[in-house]
Amino acid sequence: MSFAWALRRDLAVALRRRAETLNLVGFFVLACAMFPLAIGPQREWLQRIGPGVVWVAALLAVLLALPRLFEHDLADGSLELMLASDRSLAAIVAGKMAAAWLASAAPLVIAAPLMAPAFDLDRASALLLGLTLLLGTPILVAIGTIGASLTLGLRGAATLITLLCLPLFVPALIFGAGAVEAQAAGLSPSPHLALLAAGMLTAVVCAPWLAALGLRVSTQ
Amino acid sequence: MSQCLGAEGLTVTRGERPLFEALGFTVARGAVLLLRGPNGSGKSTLLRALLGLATIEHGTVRFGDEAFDPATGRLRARALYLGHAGGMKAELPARQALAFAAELDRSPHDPQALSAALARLGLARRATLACRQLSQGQRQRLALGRLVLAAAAPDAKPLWLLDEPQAALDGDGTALFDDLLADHLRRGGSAIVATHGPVAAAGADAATVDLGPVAARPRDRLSGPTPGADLARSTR
Amino acid sequence: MPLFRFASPQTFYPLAGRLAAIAAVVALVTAAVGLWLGLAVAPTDAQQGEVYRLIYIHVPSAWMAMFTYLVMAGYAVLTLVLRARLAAMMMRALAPTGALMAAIALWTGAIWGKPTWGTYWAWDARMTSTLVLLFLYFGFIALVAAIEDPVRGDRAGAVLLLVGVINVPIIYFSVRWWNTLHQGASLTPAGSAIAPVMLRAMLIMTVAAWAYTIAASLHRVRSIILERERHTRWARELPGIGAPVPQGARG
Repeated sequence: MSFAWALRRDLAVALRRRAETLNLVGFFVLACAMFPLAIGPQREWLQRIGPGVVWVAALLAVLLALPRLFEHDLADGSLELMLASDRSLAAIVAGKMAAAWLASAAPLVIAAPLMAPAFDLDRASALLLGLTLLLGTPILVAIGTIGASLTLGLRGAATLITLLCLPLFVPALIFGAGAVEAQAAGLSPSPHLALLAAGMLTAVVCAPWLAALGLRVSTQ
Repeated sequence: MSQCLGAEGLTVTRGERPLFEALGFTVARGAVLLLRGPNGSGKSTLLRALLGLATIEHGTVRFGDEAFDPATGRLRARALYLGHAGGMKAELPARQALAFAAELDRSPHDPQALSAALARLGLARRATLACRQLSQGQRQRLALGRLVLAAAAPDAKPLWLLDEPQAALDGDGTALFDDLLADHLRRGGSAIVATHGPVAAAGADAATVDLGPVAARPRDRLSGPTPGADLARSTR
Repeated sequence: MPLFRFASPQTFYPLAGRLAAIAAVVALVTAAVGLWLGLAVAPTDAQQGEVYRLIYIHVPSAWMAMFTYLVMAGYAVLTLVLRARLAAMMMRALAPTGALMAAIALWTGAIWGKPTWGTYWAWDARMTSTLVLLFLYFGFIALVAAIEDPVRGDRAGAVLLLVGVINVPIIYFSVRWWNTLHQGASLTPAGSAIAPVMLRAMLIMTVAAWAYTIAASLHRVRSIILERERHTRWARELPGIGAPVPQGARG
């Protein structure tokens, strides 16, 4: 199966590039730490901004990982082989997307609740934060994959991806951070989670086709 | 001898300039078509266009006797493509990289087939090295491993589209390539090979398409037909 | 169908020129009438005073920013499905004007906001959505500018627009949710009932904005057509261009 092939292959490569994943987690932790340093250690402020800061840091970390998605394959010729093969390009892209999520976003989902003490969030908030990232980061990776496919090989692709993707990240950010804030205010986070889940399913299903189209457009 | 692939009146542009116009050629079954021309003349683009990876403005292409539109990618199931770059992931060990590539091709990639292929390539002792630790020539030989494994497939692809397969190869490597190509032709397969050097398996009077130097062609299309276009000399 | 004749850049070029001139006149006339109605005739608002008159520019430009994006998305579909050259050129031509409309909406909204809420920016739902829309425009313009190959640029921009247009309602909905959750201010036209003359003025200004967009983008598309078709005989033979046409030029 083409999806499994791409997933196995990209994971095998990611395993040998473990440093990149570690760097990404390091960036995430540092980015989170910048905010208290900039704003001040008052507990009420930190509790208020915590979920938002963690979400933004995760979002930026995902953006850092995106340009790599297709660039290496373009450089070593394996992208061309994928395009020239009779296998479904959308299935291959879906496999690459899944591997990218596992290598760059999943570690953040695990690290985020560990950042909770930095913002004085209680355990329930920390776990909910992790859940929102679990549901929301696939949306970010999916949208980012489309952006990466359109900017393939362009100079300044990394900044371009950021400009293209950030406006489209707004809904996920709003509902993701909003869920944790709602719970802190005593409201139920279920509507937020439901919307995140719906967004995740839609994005994950649609993005491979759009990104495959983007790849063909970019390599014609 | 029946035809494996034929084309007439092919026009392909890059950007806003035509690379070649009204190009025609035939690849007979069990034969090789050589693509010659300096760098940038459109050899790679022609190969890619047949697979639907580059746009064909005009022209018809036939596989066997059946005309088809290359943009649909119908040739991909029946053709094996070797691009300029090898397509092997630099971080992976040679063996694993070849396995993934063969799996993409739908070629056999079980451990025995891989070991036999690596032995034939002369890379058995380097199989566990990461591809980036191999020399340029060794990496090119590893890329040829896709041809070895594809040949072993039960439903082997009849057409090989090879872009500079002999780049960086030493004498042994070139001999290996000639062997592989000769075996393929003997089994009734065909090939289009873009290359600068001699191809022994093709024979002395192989069909050739010479795409001519781009520099000799006018920069924009206002000044008449491009000189290189009608040079499709089929000498067979 | 005779209309399809105009799908060719060569036949569309002169038509675009004439339409642009007509639209420019319409824009000037309707803007003059609308501004007169809005600035001179319409009554002063009971709560906000004179500053509310900015809605006669703010609301039409916000509508146009939104509508232009939808039209661009329509051209994007034509570009991808029919591979129509002219559709892609119109798509590119509309973008700067749409971005300008969004920017005007934001700027007038900020000026209106200062006396109304005490701050230039209050993270109102509609204003924030318009800001995101402005960045969607910037993204499109940046992407097509970064791609040298015009065909690749057309198709990549089209894909981006389709992704964007599906997301615009989602973005608006999410920002509205976020805004009500945080009890933000909401920018509404003055008072409970809108006097008929105010409505009339706003509609006339909307027509003016529409006509301006048509005039500006048709004018721009003529430049794009000339640039893309600079190798052809008909473009070089245009009066005012007079470029040499060597033998064997394409038609």
